[in-house]
Amino acid sequence: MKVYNEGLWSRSFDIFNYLLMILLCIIMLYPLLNTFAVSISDPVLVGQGKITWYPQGFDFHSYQYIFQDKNILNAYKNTLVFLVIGTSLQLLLTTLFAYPLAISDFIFRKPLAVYVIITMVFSGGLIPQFLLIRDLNMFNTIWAVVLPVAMSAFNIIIFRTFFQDIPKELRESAYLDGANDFGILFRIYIPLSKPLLATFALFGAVMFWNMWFEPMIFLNNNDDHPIQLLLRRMTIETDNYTDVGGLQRFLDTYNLNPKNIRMASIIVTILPILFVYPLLQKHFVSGMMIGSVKG
Amino acid sequence: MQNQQLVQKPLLRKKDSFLRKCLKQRYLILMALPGFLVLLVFKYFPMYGITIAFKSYDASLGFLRSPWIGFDHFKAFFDSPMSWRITKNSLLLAFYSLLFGFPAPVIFALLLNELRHKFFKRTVQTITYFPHFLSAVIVVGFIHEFTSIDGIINKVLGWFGAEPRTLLYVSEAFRPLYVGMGIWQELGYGAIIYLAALTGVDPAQHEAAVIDGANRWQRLRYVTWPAIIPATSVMLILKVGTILSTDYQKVLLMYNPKIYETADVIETYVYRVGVQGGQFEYGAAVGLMLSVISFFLILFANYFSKKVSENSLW
Repeated sequence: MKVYNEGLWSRSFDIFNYLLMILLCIIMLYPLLNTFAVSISDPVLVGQGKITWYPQGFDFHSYQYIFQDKNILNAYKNTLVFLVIGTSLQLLLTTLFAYPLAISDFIFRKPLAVYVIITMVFSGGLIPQFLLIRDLNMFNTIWAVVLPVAMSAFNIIIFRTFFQDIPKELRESAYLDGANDFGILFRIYIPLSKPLLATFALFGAVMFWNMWFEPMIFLNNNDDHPIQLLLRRMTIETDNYTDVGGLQRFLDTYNLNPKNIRMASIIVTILPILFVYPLLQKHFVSGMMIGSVKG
Repeated sequence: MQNQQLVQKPLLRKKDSFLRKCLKQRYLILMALPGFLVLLVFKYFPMYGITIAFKSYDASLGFLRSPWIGFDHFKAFFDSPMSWRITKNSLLLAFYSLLFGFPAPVIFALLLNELRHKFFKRTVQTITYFPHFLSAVIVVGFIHEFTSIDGIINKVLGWFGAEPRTLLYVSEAFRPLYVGMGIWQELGYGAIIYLAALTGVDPAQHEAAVIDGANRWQRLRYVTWPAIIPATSVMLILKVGTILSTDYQKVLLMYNPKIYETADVIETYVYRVGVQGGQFEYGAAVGLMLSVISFFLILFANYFSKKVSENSLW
């Protein structure tokens, strides 16, 4: 933007604004930096509360512990299973459902659109959901975690809007060549929707990565728990943490502070998000725009 | 002739009977079927399941055959001392979140818009968007560390002469912590929608304002601000509609019996008595009340906004 009529007030406002933004960035980053610093710092200094935003007196044993604790590796694996199955199911069901909705002469188009919108306005709430899973005998299965969130009205509407923008001549000419709707969807629509699918795969993956409440109420067995629930037991509900991975022995052997390991476990849970963040950032603004312009 | 038939194939003719249309579009119907069923089972069955709030649930009779008992669970709720506490807590938490959490991203977007260095602006955005993607467990994990006796929040408060305390066991500290955490996590991400509205402002409008002698404040007031009013009112309506729904997952992670006084909200109560305590009917009744009130709140907010600003959801 061009600079017009620079006055004293205008300049002091700029200085104030820049300082404020820097302060905000520090507040946003501090928890992450501090957590990382504590995870690799000297346990004695950690115990004295001397670590702020940079590491002091390196000690990497906490990560050695993380990568040998079978519990943590198992929780990682559980999360990955939820993530892969959950996200694929979400994409598959949403794509299949949104395609007919995007076709203007589909006979059930209007009723199905209403059917979807209703789920946006009304919901059963926690207790009926809980009883439903129980009555379906889905407790302690992956389906309790993955199926209830497989279809969201918001995603369906965005997919449909996207499909509607694909010229319908493509579909009609494919008909002439003898393709049926499955062929058209998988050979024409899906290849054309790769950016959309990539965006929602990412968002789905982050959602499943961060999920903890549903697994907590539907999965009773600690061995089935995803990483977030294990993290909860390690950092928040520390009374419920049962030391089966030999944590205490490890702490004694290397004179570690429990805080070292707590912070290291937070870091390994954040890292995957950090890795996909540049991709996410590239997509989320456009994703929000698709929704708001035509939703 | 054959060719013409092929062209006709995907297009429905008016005179086709309903069944014939279905047959022609059998693949489309087949595609919609799995999604239809998933929505039916996981969204619509629970809606019907709400009727449990008016029943006396008997596991041996099953869900459908349990006897109806009317509004007993609702009466029980209003008679219990809990009803006032959890409603008050939900409302206050929502009120403070709205009061401080709603303007924050708007102001942040306006300030970002005034930054002149593209690179600096992008960096600030990248940093402030990130917390949005962290899970509730991680964010509350941070809170746990920073509010402990030797945590940084106590240190900062110490500069102002406060005694160090484990803040998560102090009931007066819960609301500020919850609201602050919400702002920390959503400040940047919440600003995206306003920034998008701001990019729609035609630079010519700014130039015209300058020629007319407008200073920077006047341009903010009369050019920039009007551009984000529609987005702001729509977001405000949405917020008011969900005012009673707390981010209960975070509250569940943060609270403990010592601070139920301020931290126990409607959803956490439903979770405790319903899921943990097994009083399903009662929990469902409380949950239903929450959705009914929310529904009327959003109707009211929309009506109000239409009256005063001609911006509305529908």
